[in-house]
Amino acid sequence: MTVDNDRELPDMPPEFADVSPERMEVLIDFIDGRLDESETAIFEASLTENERREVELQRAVRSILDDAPAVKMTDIERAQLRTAIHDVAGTRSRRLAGLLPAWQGRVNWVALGSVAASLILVVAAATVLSNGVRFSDGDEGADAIAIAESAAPTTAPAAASTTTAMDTAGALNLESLQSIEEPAEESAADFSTLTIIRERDVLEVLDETPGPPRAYNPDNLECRDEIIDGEVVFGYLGAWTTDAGRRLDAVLFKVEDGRRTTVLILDTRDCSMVFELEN
Amino acid sequence: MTDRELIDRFLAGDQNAFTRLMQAHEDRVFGLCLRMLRDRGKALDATQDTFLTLYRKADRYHGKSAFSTWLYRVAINTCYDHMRKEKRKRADALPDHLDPVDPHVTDEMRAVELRPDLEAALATLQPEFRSAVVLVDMEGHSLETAAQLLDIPIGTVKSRVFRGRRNLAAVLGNFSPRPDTPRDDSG
Repeated sequence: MTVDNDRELPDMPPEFADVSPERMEVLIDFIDGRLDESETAIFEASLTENERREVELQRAVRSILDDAPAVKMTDIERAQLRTAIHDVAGTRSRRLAGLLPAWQGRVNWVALGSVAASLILVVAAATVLSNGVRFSDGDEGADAIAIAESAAPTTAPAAASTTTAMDTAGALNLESLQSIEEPAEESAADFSTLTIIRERDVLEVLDETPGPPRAYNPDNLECRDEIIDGEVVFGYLGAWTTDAGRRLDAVLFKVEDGRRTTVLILDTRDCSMVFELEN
Repeated sequence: MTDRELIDRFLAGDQNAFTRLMQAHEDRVFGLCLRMLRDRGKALDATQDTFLTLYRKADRYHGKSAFSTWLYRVAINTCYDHMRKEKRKRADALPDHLDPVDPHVTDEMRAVELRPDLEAALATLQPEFRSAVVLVDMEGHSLETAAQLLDIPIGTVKSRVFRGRRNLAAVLGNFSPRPDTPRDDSG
């Protein structure tokens, strides 16, 4: 026994398949000393041989667990935690999450470095944020985005039907959008349909977002479980490009928690966060 | 100053109150997460997420239970989320083997780790058993508090602790084969 050279566990009694849940409850109360004196005496007298062995075993395991040393953070871990929390707490507006040192374990630094401050988004992002979105029925078509500009959304066969949503001056022109489908394969031509939206544009779009855009169930999207707090009011899967021209398949979620709205963009390869924006 | 007072101050805009809350609970939250997740990096991530949730949702604490109960429940749920994500990513169940020991781990870290055999044994428990055993037998919470933290009846806590200890004993016994001993299986 490697647990403790001075302390061996008693033999394991047979399984308690025939013990009722009620009996088991009293048994564990007895083991842990939660019965009063008279109850203890009565119950002890009623124990079978197997139950006595079980009592011995359970008490031995409890003792081992009880003796386990308290866990503490190291100074480095503590500093990481506080830096991360304080950085977030002190940055209520917007930030690139990856700049926080303690997020290292979750941030895709390669993607982050490429994305930098001038993240380039698929034009659908702006449309989703400002006009709402509708996916094809059944939700499994999360990668086929149909903008609900009209009552009957259309699904274009490819990105070729996508129209630019931003004019040359950078102003959003959402009315021109009809539909967009994620490019089927990566090519230079695909990116010709993309529109650059910088951080300030995302902020503007956030302010324009109409209310409740629950046009589909975002829970089916990849990386949905990364969002542990707040209500995901919508999300979508899209192709993004970085400054370096690299394609980044990512999911965008808009999350509301009552006090603020957050847009998160997560790399679908490992669900690492490459962008976070709060307003 | 009580946790409740610190929460009130934080909600009123006092960032130092949040810092004090974090300082008061960070080790215990981290310890809970480490015992649940069995990895310091993941435990630190979960601890961060727990305090970020506190930061963003402190207004949802209404004082109906002890603040620590509320916070540890957030921590447990966060750990469950991390475990689910990990399970999905690795496409296998909870680890049935020990990860290799990091040769670069410092003495300071080693000093606060659980003994490897106990840690590995805990890792083999199903999450619901592990959380009950950790809370009651390692963190010292009462059955009532554990029931609150896990949002299950007290009877279920008892059952999970009982079965968790039993499974733990079986695994611990397997780490070091013992001499064959006659076993009375007659019941």
